[in-house]
Amino acid sequence: MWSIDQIRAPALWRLGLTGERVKVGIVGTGIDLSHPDFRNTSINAFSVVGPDVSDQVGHETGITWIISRIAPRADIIVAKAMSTQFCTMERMIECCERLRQMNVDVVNISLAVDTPTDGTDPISAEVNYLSQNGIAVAVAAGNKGPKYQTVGTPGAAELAVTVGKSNEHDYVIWDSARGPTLDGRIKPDLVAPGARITAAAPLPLRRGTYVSYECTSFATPHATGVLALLKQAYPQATGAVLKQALLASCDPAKASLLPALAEGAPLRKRVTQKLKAAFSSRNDPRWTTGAGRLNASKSYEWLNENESKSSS
Amino acid sequence: MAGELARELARFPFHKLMPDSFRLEIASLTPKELDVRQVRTWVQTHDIPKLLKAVGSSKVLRSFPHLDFVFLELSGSQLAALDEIDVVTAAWNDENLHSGTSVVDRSNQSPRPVAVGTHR
Repeated sequence: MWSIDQIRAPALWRLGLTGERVKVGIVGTGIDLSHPDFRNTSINAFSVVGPDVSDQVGHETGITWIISRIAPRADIIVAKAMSTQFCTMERMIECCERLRQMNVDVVNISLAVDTPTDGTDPISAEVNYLSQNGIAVAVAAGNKGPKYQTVGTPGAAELAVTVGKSNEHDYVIWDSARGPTLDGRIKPDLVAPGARITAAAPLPLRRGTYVSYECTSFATPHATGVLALLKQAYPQATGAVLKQALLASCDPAKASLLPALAEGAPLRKRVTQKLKAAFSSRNDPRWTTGAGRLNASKSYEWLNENESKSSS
Repeated sequence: MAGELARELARFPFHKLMPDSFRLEIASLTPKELDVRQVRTWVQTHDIPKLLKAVGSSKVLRSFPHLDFVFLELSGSQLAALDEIDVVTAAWNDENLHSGTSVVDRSNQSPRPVAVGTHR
């Protein structure tokens, strides 16, 4: 997969890192455990919306698949918080708390409320709480760009790793949500591949076995997978340190100036909006790209250098 | 522009309601509409017992003491009265999270396998 090559996860596999002994929690629509690609993956699941853990929407099956490609020996726990595309805040917090009690190391949340916040809302508070308990949390920035201040919750949570989406040329995708947060903090924290991402399709969508997605939801598991590999290498590193490692080691990413072909707005309007955004001197480029595009190999090197310094 | 909006918003009551869209929605209701409207809200407080004494514990749907949040169902007028309770920091709208995915293509073709042999 181009996306896994681009974030340089194979460099960590060559060091023997596969996510072994790392527990990864995934909150969302459930999982299709019958997909043939999950035969050799350690996956457990629970549901807070009834006994059935199956994925009727087609979201977290693909996300789980991406994480299992990057960290193939991680112990994955899928928390089903919803049977439709929508999830209440109460269910989300319930899932996060159960995952915390199960001692997960990393949590993936590819769900969002699009209303911009200052990161003091209940979902952001829960994500910060997980992080304060040592858990690394990767969350989707959302797809409400290109306007600024379009990161909602939990993307606005201060301690989360908030992930925007980029393409194979390191351009941030047109509609990836932009910062800053309502209280002026930089978000997203980084971008990861989120365009034309192929992933497993669950049974209800399985007219084909795989589906190609374009969404920050599918950029997020790239960060989650890398966090799992780094956690295996440095089991004592807290979520906050792992986040620091990701942010300190990104490759440069660029804001896209190409028109979004998939959008229905007239070409002239789209180009004008993009030029306005690009040339406005008040806009900080980090509101679009964060620290840049995820690089697993450099993050490992950063941890290697800084963790050995702190232990000596 | 932003300053103008902030000035406009400052004129509205319900300063503790968040986000602004929720505050505007409640502020636009008449007193009669406020009385009949039932609202689910997340109240942030540093003193949960004092809050429950003020609003009545029957209104509690769930309490999250580790987050300093209480999930309540209140009438619009009770919601408006939260402004006057000193232990209330903010009251957030109960909004749904969603999974926003755009499917680009379907295929039976497996992508190139990665890390072969490393699976369990």
